[in-house]
Order: sequence, then structure tokens, then C-alpha cells
Amino acid sequence: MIQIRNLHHQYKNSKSIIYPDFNLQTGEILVLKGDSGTGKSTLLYILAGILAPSSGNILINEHNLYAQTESQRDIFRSKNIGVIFQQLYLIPYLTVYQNIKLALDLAGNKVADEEIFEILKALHIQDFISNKASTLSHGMQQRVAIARAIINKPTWILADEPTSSLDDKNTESVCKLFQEINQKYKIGFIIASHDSRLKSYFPKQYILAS
Amino acid sequence: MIVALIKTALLAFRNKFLDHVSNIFLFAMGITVALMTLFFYKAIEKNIFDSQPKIDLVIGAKGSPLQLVLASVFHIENPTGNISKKTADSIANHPFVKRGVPISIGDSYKGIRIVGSDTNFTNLYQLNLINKSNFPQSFEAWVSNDLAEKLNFKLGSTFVSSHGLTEDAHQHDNNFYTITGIFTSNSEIANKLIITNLSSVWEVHGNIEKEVETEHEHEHEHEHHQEHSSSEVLEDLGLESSKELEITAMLVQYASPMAMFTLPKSINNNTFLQAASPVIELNRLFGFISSGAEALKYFSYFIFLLALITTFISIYNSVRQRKFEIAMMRIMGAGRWHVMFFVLIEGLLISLCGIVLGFLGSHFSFLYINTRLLNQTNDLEIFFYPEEIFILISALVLGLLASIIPGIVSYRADVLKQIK
Repeated sequence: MIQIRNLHHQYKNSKSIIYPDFNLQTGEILVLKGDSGTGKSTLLYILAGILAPSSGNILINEHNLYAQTESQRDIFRSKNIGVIFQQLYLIPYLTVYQNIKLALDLAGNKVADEEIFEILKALHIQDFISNKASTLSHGMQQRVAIARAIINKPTWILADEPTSSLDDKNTESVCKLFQEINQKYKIGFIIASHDSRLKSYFPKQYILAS
Repeated sequence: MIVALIKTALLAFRNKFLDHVSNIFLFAMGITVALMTLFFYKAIEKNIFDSQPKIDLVIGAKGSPLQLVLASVFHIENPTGNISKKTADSIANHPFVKRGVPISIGDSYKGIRIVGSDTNFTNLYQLNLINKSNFPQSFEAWVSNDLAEKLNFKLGSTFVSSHGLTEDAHQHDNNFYTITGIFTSNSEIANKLIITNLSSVWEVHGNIEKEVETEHEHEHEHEHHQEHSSSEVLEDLGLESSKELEITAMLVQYASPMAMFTLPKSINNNTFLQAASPVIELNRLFGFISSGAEALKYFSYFIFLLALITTFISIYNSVRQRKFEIAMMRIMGAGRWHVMFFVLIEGLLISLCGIVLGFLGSHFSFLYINTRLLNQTNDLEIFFYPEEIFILISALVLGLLASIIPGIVSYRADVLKQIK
């Protein structure tokens, strides 16, 4: 469960955002909607533990995220939160397998290779396991980034604008993939997006206003 | 996690290997110059200082004292001239002298010096005969085991000496030496000489003046001489009896430390001879050599500094280019120390590759110079000096130093700023 209370963030340019309190149950999918500059991505960064809010509390799975030290947050994030950025940030010289294995190793988790293969199969990229990430198409790379995010079986996946550069067909593909993962692995999603096409796939939306 | 970071760093290094080639070569070059300087020093130590008998004084003809020492002790220079054996013997019999070893040089075989001496030479250089043999008589010779192998000599082999100390010297066609002894010695110098008695040298040079002698007469003389003492050789050669026997030098070991203060001074001031101390002359020689080696040392420092700067720039740029990658590692669970470690590995890998390349390059180059160019030994022998560890570790530390600032940059980096 995610609980947000009295969350306020002030930017360096003195602009500030006050987020409303809300709760999100484990396994839910929430789309954070809003125009540019409304703080969607900022909230994702705060939830990911890489941007400390100016004030307020965030409880993820009953852990007060910013009451922890930075290194405790690093460990907590690696085990409980998967992050998918718009730019994906795969390591280009590593193969698909090595990218996923690195996420496992950095989280200190051990998973049998069969399980990695199972996830790649679920994402239809099992045939590219030995390909270098840089040689794959954007669509394929996105699937690898998703595989990397779910390999540690986190409770939550935070996705920043996952469909902004995709056409309708690929948007549908990604959304269905999120739904499948949500159902299969019981992972909750928080998706920051201004893409109105997501509404038909994920009805629970939270609109942030400037 | 550490293993995963090392694996990833290795893959990153392999991926950007071409970018690091120049840095690796600079490290390798610095190590090669530093190690070659070390090997050069070690070779001098081995050939000049190690396993050499303690020779306190060399007595020879007036001239350059360094030349006298190099010619008589190290056999790498032409002698300054000859001296009277009688006078040299009188010095050898001085109470301050423990041992006097006369040597007479002037001939060679294939560039290898033939040294005439007496049994004192055997004791001085501690020659251990493999076979049983008395000290060489006229036109008999001893060689070391190494030299016998190199020249393909066996007991009973014969050879003709050449006048002079170079390979292209004129041959004494009538003078056949026979190998009667093969020895082993710890002395690198003795191992590279052909040893005979003084009479042989005198006789060869007597014969030069008496070229008209027939071969038969010569052989007869040869047999006859074996039964004669060196003092009788002069007459046997038919030379004028008034002409004194000469030697090249007398190698002297002191019986008392007092000799050091009185003997050289007395000889140099009161006789036509020259007394030179090998220790003093070598220190003088090393003064010259050291300045060259010192220059090489500073050259290697300069290359290392260059390697340090270029590697730093290279890793710094690499970290900037890979900021997303490093940020993503942080997001996936790597701590600040972990990403710093990841960057340091890159510097270590560059210096490690340079170390391996420089280590192999310097060793093989030195072996090549030693075996092929200087013809010092026939076998490729593996060697490692403890001092090398210091040079190699220094290079490794430099690699770490080059990556420490980029490492700190990664440590201090704000993940959010890197991915934005």
C-alpha cells in the first residue's frame, strides 16, 4: 500500500507543488495525469526515493520512505520498486540477459535462469536474450526495460511517460502488457502520463492540476 | 553485488577498449622504461659486483686507472701496457699483500680473451674443475662449462689464437691450444675467459718476433716448455736474456686493511707502475652511468604522468558519457560507494593492461637484447626482481589515482540530475 500525506515539494525556482493525500492499494494501477509542469514526474521521483520532498510523508508498504537513510532507501527501492523511464536507460553494451541479471545482482536477489527466461517469454523477447540491448528496436528495448523492472518482483512499478513516443498499436501493446503483468505478478503500477489513450486501459486516474 | 559490478566494468571496458588503447600504451611504455632501467642496473650488478672475487688493487702500466681496471678485472678494455713481472712479483711478496695474481692478456679466440696466469688465478676465482687437471701448461687451456658449450669445445679440442682482442684479429697460425680443463665458477667474468699459463702468452709473442721458426721446432719447444718454470721461458724462447718477462697486470688482495692507505700511494709515487683501486674506479664509472640512468628514470616519470593525465581525461569523459548508466545502477540498488568502485575498476583495468603489456614487453626486450644482441646467454631464462613489484604497484596506484576524481564525481552525483 502507498500512503501520501501532506506532500509538498518546492523547486529551486521557488515554484511549489502541494499534492493531495491519497492511498493506493497493493496491486492497483493508477495513472497520474496532468499537463506539463503539474508535477507528475516529480511525484514519481519522490516515490522512487530519488527526490526528497520539501515536507510530508510517504509510506510504501508501511515504510516511511524518507525516514530512511539514503543507502536504506537504495536497498528498499531495489527490492520493492521498479522504475521504467521514458528513455529506458538500458546498458547498451550488455545483452538482454546481462541487463536483467544486473538488476537482480544489484538488488542482491537470486533467481534461476529459467525464471528470467520465463519472464522474457511472457514479454515475447525470449529470442533476443543474447542480443545486445543497443541492437534492439525501441519496442523491444521497452520490453527489456519492463523485464528489468519486474525481475525483482517489486510491489510497485513506476513508469514515466511509457507511451508518449508510441503509436496507437504499440501503446495498446504496452498497456496490455502492464495489465498482464499486473494480473500475473500482482504488481501495482503508477504511471505518469499526459497520454489520454491510457484512460481506456487504466480507468483509475489522478489528475494533477497546476 | 561486487562481482556483478566487476563483470559489468569488464564488459564496459571491453566495449570501450579502443578508446583506452593510447592510455594502455602510455602505461606500458612507462613500465617498460622503468623496468628496463632496473634490468640494466641489475645486469651491471650481476656482471660486475655479484660473485666477483674481492680484488683490492690492480697494478699495471701507467695510464688511465679506469682503463686498467676495466681491462684487467672486467676484461672489457684494452690494457694500458705491460709491466715487469719481477717488479710486480716483488709487490706481491709485500707483507701487506695476501695474494697477487699475475695476468697477461693480448690474444683472443673468436673475440673471447685468452688470459695467461698461474694457479693463484684458480684460487682467486674459485674455479672448480669438472675433470682432473693441473693448471694449464704451455698451449693448454681451460674454459668454463658455459663457454665450452658455446664454442663446442670438449676436452682435447684445439683452437688457434688470434693476436689482439677483437674477433677480426690476425691468427697465430702456428699456435694450437688444447683444451685440458673445463671448470665451473660463480664468477661471470671467469666464465667468459679462456685460461692458460703465462708461458703460453710469452711464447706466442716470442714467436711473433721469431716467425722464422719451423712448426716442428715449435712443437718440440712446446713439449719442452711443459717441464719448465716460467722463469726459464725467456731463454727457451731464444729471446735476449736481458729482456725482462712482462705481464699485463697484477691483481692484488690485501692482507691487512693498512695496505689500503699505504700501498697504492707508495706504488704510484715511487715506481713506474700504476696502482688502481677497482672500488674507486667503479664508483667513478657509475657516476657517469648513473646520470644516464637517472635521465631514463625521469623519462619514465614523465610518461607515467602523461598516462595519468590522459587516463584521467579518458575516464572522466567516459563517466560523463555513461551518466545514465551509472544513475540507473543507483536506481537498481547500487550505493554511492558501489558506483565509485565501478568507475575505479576502469582505471585499474587500464593500468593492469598497461602493466601486463609493459611487463612482458620489457622482459622480452631485455631477453632479446641479452641473447641476440649481446650474446650473453644461449637460453631464455625467466627472471623477476623483487623491485619490479614496487614499479608495478606504483603503476596500479597511478591507474587508481587517474580514476579517483571521476570516481568521486560518480559518488557525489545526484541521480535525478543525471537522468533528467
